[in-house]
Amino acid sequence: MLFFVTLPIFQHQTNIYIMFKQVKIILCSLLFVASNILAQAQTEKIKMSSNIKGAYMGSVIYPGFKLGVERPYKHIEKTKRSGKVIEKDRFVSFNLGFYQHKTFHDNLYFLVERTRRRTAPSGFFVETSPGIGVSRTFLSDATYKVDDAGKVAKVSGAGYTYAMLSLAAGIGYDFSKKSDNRPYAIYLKPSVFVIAPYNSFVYFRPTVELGVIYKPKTFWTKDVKEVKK
Amino acid sequence: MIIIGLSSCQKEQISTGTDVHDTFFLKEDGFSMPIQVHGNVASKKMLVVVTGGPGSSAILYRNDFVIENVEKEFAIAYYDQRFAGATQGSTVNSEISLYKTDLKKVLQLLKSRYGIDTKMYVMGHSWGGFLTPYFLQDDNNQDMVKGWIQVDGAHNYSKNDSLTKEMLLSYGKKEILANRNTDKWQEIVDYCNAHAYNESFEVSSTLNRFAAKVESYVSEIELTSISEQFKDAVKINKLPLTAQLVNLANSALIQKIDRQAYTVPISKNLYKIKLPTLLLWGRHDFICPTGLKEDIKKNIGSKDVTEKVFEKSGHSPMFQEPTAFWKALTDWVEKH
Repeated sequence: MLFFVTLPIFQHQTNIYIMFKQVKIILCSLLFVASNILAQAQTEKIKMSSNIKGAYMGSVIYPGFKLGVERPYKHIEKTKRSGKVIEKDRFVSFNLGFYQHKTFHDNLYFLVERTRRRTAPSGFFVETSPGIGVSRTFLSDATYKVDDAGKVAKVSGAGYTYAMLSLAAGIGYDFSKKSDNRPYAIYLKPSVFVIAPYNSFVYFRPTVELGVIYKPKTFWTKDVKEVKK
Repeated sequence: MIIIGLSSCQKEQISTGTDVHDTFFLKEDGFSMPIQVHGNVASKKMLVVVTGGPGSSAILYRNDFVIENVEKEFAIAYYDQRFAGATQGSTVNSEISLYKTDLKKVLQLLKSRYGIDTKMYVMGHSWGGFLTPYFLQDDNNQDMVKGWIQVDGAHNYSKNDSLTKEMLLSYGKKEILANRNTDKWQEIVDYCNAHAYNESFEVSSTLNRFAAKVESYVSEIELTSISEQFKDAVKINKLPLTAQLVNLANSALIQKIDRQAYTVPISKNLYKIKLPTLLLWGRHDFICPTGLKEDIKKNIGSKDVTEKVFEKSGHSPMFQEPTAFWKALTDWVEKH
């Protein structure tokens, strides 16, 4: 079932005038708020290491894995009135995933995710990761072609290449917040991905990742914009 | 290297014996249609399930009862049609004549794997009961098959709608008089009185929806076993559930495959079918009423026609009265 979003149609000029006036007020307000925030924030560049992560990735009951690298591009430290510092990190992560569904297919995919992570002083964090990628499936068993004369031939490497979109949200615990000797975090992240075009439509699949993030001191370091508020 | 490794996992496994479990795919027109063969291949007899829907999965017919009682007698080939079940692909062609070609190629592939001497019996259920005679009427397709089993099949869509409407009306009026589910039946009777069966595809779809719904109002139908057996099938066969849902929606809502079936005159060409035929029907089937069985008997060219009606069944006697259904089927296959 397809749902279409319809835009309201303004039939009278007065309505259009009111609408522009409202948009103007909203834009001015946003500019005012943004300028205040920017005035308070201190921005500088810091060197940050990339993280390495590995996870068991189960697609319902079908096993798989996901390996990746998180490349930071922004680090925000926000000090609350209570003095607690909330850290917000932004990463681009590059992932290689795989699962095996017997009698259906094996799926190997490359996924680029944009991760937004918010870590509390206690070490607990929440994150969201929308992603885009490419998937190559391999049919689970032998595949044949039959020509019009009825001659049967085996097809090798049978499977499909699809475009892939994914959406994930997870929780985790960062041990490094309490001790420098424990540079790792664990996380649990359910996600749904969609591959297309699939039989003229899309195919979706829920997955769950249970993984570890290793945070080395120096690995594929990058100058990252740090914002302190 | 990973890709080479994954490709090499697609090993060809052709089993012989009395307890075979093979999975393989037919690649046709951009689709990869899964075929699972289970059971006694050594018997040299194979039942090919042509599933309902369109969009449903053949492997849903495989449950504990079938494994214990039927697959020991002969092999069963469960194949998913294009846009159905666990079929994968990235193409769009849903022209119904291609379904006929797919079935032909499935049979050719099965014969190539399990031997040209394997006797094939095609069992069409519901929409599969349209597709099977559609396939059998073509060229020399009957030469590949030993027998036709029609189970509550929809071989004539237009006649099907007229019979469904007639049955809903007559049954509904009786039930209202008997004061059973009065409100529900009244809505159906009113709708039937207000619309001609051939008014539009929407009317046809509504009649079909009512026909499915009323099975739960008819006390004579054995309903309890359907959900249990469906759960069985999901558990046993490790179904890719999201693929099933996507394909079901794709077949019915997006491709609207059903619409094309109205234009094919199956009844008129039934005289071409000379194969031994078994007609299995649920007495209380509103979706494909028993009148369709009578139409086959009247028009078929075969002299060897056996029929059996299941008194406690609606549209799916294989789930509603499994013992009686599979006994009738296995006895018939054994004789043919």
